[in-house]
Amino acid sequence: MAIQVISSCSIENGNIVVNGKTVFSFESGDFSEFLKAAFKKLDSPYPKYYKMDKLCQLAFLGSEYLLKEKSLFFGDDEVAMVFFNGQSSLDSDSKHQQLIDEEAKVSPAVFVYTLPNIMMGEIAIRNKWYGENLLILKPSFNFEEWATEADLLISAEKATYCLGGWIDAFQENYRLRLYLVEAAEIKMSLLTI
Amino acid sequence: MAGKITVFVGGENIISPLGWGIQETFSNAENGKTGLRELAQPFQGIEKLHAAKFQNSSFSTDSAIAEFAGESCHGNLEELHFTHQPEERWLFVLSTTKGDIAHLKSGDVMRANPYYLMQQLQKELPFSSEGKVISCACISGLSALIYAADKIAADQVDHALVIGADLLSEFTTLGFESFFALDAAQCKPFDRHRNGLNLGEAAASVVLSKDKNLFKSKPFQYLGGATSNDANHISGPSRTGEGLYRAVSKALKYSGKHADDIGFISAHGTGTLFNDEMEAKAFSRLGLEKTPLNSLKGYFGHTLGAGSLVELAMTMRSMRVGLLLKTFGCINPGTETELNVLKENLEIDVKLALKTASGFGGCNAAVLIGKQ
Amino acid sequence: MSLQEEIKKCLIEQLSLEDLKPEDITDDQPLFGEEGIGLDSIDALEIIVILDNHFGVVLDNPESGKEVFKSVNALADYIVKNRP
Repeated sequence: MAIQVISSCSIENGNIVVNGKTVFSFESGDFSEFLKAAFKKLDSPYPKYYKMDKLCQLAFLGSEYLLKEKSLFFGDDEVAMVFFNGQSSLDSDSKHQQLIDEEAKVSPAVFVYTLPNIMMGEIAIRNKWYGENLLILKPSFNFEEWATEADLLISAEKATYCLGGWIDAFQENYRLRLYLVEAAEIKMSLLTI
Repeated sequence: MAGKITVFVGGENIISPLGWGIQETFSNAENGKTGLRELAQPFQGIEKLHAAKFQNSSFSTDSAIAEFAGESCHGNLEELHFTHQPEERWLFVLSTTKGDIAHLKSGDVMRANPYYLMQQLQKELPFSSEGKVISCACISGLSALIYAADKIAADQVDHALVIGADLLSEFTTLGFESFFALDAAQCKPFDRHRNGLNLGEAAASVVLSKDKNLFKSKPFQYLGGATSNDANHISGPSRTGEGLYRAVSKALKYSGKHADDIGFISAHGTGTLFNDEMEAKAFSRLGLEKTPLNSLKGYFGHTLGAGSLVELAMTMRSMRVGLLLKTFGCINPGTETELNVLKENLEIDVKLALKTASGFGGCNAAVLIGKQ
Repeated sequence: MSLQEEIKKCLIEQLSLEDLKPEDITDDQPLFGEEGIGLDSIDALEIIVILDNHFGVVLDNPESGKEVFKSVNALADYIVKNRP
């Protein structure tokens, strides 16, 4: 593998773990309440967060927690985003469909989230990242497989860093495994020089 | 090391309301026909809609999209000297925004997940393959193509079949309507009086390979491609065309080509006020305002995840026969930044073409293909 | 509750303006732009849905929204004039 993990963040069962350390726990409440409480804890106001659907909030939340851990500077074209996603935007899709079934006026604010790639747009806007975006739908996550895709972009020199991993959010079920990776340094042993 | 293996693209096919197969589709477009028409009561709650839709009688199962997408793949394979070699590594990529979304109405979440559609299509292929679904709004098709080409260039696979497919659904129609993005009549991309887009359904597919002898007709060379985010707004196009400008710049860089080398642009051109203006800004910043350009949305409507592959397949056909198609629906080009929008079909030999797409989420994509 | 207050409550709820309370929005404050409360183009489309669902008022042309959506007072005027 030609890449190495700089930072990671996992979110599930009300816990946020950054680089192996639990940084936020939420005992009670549903997924929406968790998403709100975890964001408030960051104390970095961003009104747009509350307009996002749960899939975007989950991705956004993970990226905020992960990126604040280390102060890294990125060129605006350097970071690619690659996500594997299980159930697409079906959570928002179902909401939009429900409005249709009820013969209500559909909501543009719901419809705009019926595309799973919007979460990458939200993170790009927040960080001013103009880099590559890739979203692959698949039923389960395998880190090695994801690392291969990240490596593909980094090796082709389309990105210096890659942020992404696994995200899934449908009704009350959610899971995020987020990684920030870069090309592995070629470590030369002094003995060989 | 990536990039050393030359990637070829060919065997293009389209199944659309404009024609069953690339030949019929292209010849209908060449003769000034469009797949768009006025539909009466296409869905409950919508009295009329200007869109491109297959006749319901064309399909016999409860999944029209699986049928027309499967048919498109079938057509690709007929264009190949295909012999089954078990050691050859095939990649199968479905590009779609909403897959078989019609199943969501009955609450069938599993079938509404595009992954299910991919598996259905994959089962019908005569080779075993690694199957992927790429869903990145309206750039899905180019995103899938770039992904497959990068995989071949990096020697991770040998060949790839890339298919884009989307349905005309109540789901997307009502959504776009809530954005006031639909033109009640024929869409008019890049026209002074453009007033919104028309939706459509279609499937289009191409084959990519490291082996040019796989193709019965001479394939094109895939030269390079890139995506870029506007980092500006999740639904509104960038006023400066920044993401598209960057995507094309990167595609040129990866291809080792210059803007001057581009002989033709197959633009996204949805027919909405802001999208077309955004594209005009980006192309002008790239010095491409004099390059012949068209939008094919006037023939197919906006077919979402299929769109950029439909338009790429048509571009490949155009390059084969030496005929660029006019921008159907555009009478008086009228973006603030002027472009060389084709108002009539043009006989010309194009050696290198640029295909672009842009979509919700601020995403943009650009791909360059060349004649060998 | 005055119509203005009802509008403010609706906007905050439907547009997910989490950090705002009705008393934070004055009747004449611009809703869009720099001095406004930070609404954007999707919010504008959503206000059209709110007008229809909550106040029974139809606005067919988003272009005319520019004037109507200027402030809470402008919205209230439009609702009073066009209410069925």
